Amino acid sequence: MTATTPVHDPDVADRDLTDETWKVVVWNDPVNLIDYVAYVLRKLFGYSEQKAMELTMRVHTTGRAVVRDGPREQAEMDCYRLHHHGLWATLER
Amino acid sequence: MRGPFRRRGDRVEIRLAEHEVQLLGQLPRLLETVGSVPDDPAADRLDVPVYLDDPDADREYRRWIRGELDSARAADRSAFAELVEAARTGTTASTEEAEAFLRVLAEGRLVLAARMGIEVEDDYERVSAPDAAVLDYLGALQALLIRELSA
Repeated sequence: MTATTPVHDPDVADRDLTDETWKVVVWNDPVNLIDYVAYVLRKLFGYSEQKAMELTMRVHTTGRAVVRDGPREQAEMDCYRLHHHGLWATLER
Repeated sequence: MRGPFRRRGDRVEIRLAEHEVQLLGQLPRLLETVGSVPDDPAADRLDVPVYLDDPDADREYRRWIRGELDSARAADRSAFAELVEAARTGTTASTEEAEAFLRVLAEGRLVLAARMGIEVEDDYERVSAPDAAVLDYLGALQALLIRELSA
């Protein structure tokens, strides 16, 4: 596992005090494997195996899950990294 | 049963049979065709909207990110192609290279599944046995590689 990115980066928050919190949502898709989605969440966000699997199963059973939140700039970067791994991710307030 | 991947310290050994090299070697070329054919459902799957209720924000985001994503995917394809070729006689990959390998397997499954018309789980029942076997094979490789990366 590589190092994790802090959930709330103080530098980003200070730069953009008016920014709202954005939610990063991962949607269920019929192709990506459960083990792969859980691995990606562990890898990208440094989640424990248990937390990553809980989020993955929420995606799988309810259709979607908020996997992280934060300032817009960070949320957009999270979305980019999830797309790079082939996960279906969107942003919402 | 011996899998094609084995953890060796901080690296992953990869060894593939000739027929696997032949099959997997086609994947990067397949992925390069995404977006170059009209009405390609695979292109839609790899370029999904991010802001569902704000088309302007979505256009801006995708304009900003498109080049980055294309470059990152091209780099993954190159790493994958080199590893597959070298795996014929056995090679070792860094964690980063192995994860690029993993992403190409995932992208390959997404592209193939999209072109097979798989949009929901029930669609698997309409897929031909050979098509399903390809998806299963790539998925099995993913699972085996994740196991070694998590070891």
